[in-house]
Amino acid sequence: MKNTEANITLEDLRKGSDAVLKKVYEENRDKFLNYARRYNLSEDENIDVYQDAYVIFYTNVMSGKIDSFTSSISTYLFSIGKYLIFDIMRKNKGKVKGDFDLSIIGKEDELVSTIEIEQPGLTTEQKLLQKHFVDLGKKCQELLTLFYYRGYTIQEILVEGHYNSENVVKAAKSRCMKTLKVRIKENR
Amino acid sequence: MDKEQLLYHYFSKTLTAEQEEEFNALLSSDTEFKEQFNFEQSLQQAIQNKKSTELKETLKSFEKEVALKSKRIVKRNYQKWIMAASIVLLVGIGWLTYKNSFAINYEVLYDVNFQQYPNTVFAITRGDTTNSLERNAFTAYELGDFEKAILEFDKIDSKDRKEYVTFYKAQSYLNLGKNKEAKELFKKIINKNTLFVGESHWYLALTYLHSNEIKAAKKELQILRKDYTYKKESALELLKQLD
Repeated sequence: MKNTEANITLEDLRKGSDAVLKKVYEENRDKFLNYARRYNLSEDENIDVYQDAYVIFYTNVMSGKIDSFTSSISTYLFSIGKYLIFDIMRKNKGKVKGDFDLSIIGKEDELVSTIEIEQPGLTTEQKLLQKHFVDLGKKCQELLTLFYYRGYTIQEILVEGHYNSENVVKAAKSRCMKTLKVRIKENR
Repeated sequence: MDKEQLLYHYFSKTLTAEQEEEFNALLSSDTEFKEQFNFEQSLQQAIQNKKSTELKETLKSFEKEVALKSKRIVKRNYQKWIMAASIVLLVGIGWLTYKNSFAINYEVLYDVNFQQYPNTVFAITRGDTTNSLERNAFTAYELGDFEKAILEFDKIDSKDRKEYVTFYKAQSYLNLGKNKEAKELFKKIINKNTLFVGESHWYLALTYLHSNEIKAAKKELQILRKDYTYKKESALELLKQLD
């Protein structure tokens, strides 16, 4: 589905080029900051919230939680951002400068309920996994990222990574996984 | 089906219903399969976390560029501003000398204290037909299109109209500078409603201030100070300035 506002498709976002990411960032930044200013957080906090909302939105696009646009990109960013702001306001209760009635802002946003907002931290094991993943060769990192992050099928990786055949992709993937497992074992 | 294939279909989101059943069964009965699944899922989370951190860094670099761009524009306009500011300053000094400098400028007090009340009641989400009129109104309100907001608020059938709608309609009038209409609605809220009553006393006081009706403004502020928590301190401060 085309996102009429920015003319950016879900597919464009999934490809993740810097140009597209920047376009979305710049197109929504001022609108978002204008909107956020009414909640009396500092400008740095507002920028931080905007960036966090963007990261959450993008993670949900990549994980397939958002598999079609039911709203414009702006609406997603605003809904997630609003949720994050209210979260900060709830945590800062008593320190909020504006006297807004916090009890009536707790209503769950329908859009937000369809996506994953909380970004859980990594377990010790996952941190170790991440460390060894970063140490893998560039080709391995690319392949595993295409598969586990971008959700590509073997056929799609074949095209994207310029492999010769599906079997070569499969063999390369098993080799990468094996290396990762061996390195983790060695470090235990 | 081959276990490796099942895992492949799971992570590429291509499991059929039948395969999903087989997948779930294996997950609860086959320890080795579960271990492999956990490993791949952990890897997925580790990669996702890495990409999120990288994205945040990319966004920070975009932000730096935006800041740099606006700095350049500010610099370019700097000289123009200096000239404009000098003229304003000269005219200003002349005006102040002419005007009694001890008089309170109520309009300034109004501007200092007036702040649009944010939409804290209606979560704007994707199309919801039952609430679409209210949704349209609040979308317009959040976007600052107050004329449209009023039109949409009016379209809501009186039996479906939530109490807070009157308050946001009054806010819309205020933002359009239609203080007379806003005043009537705030009075109505104070007399009939239970929600946003303190807030209405505050905004009513501000509209009185705007039209130089100081006695009436003070009366509203005193009620606010005595009976409500909303803007209590600001009300006290304003009362001191008005005395």
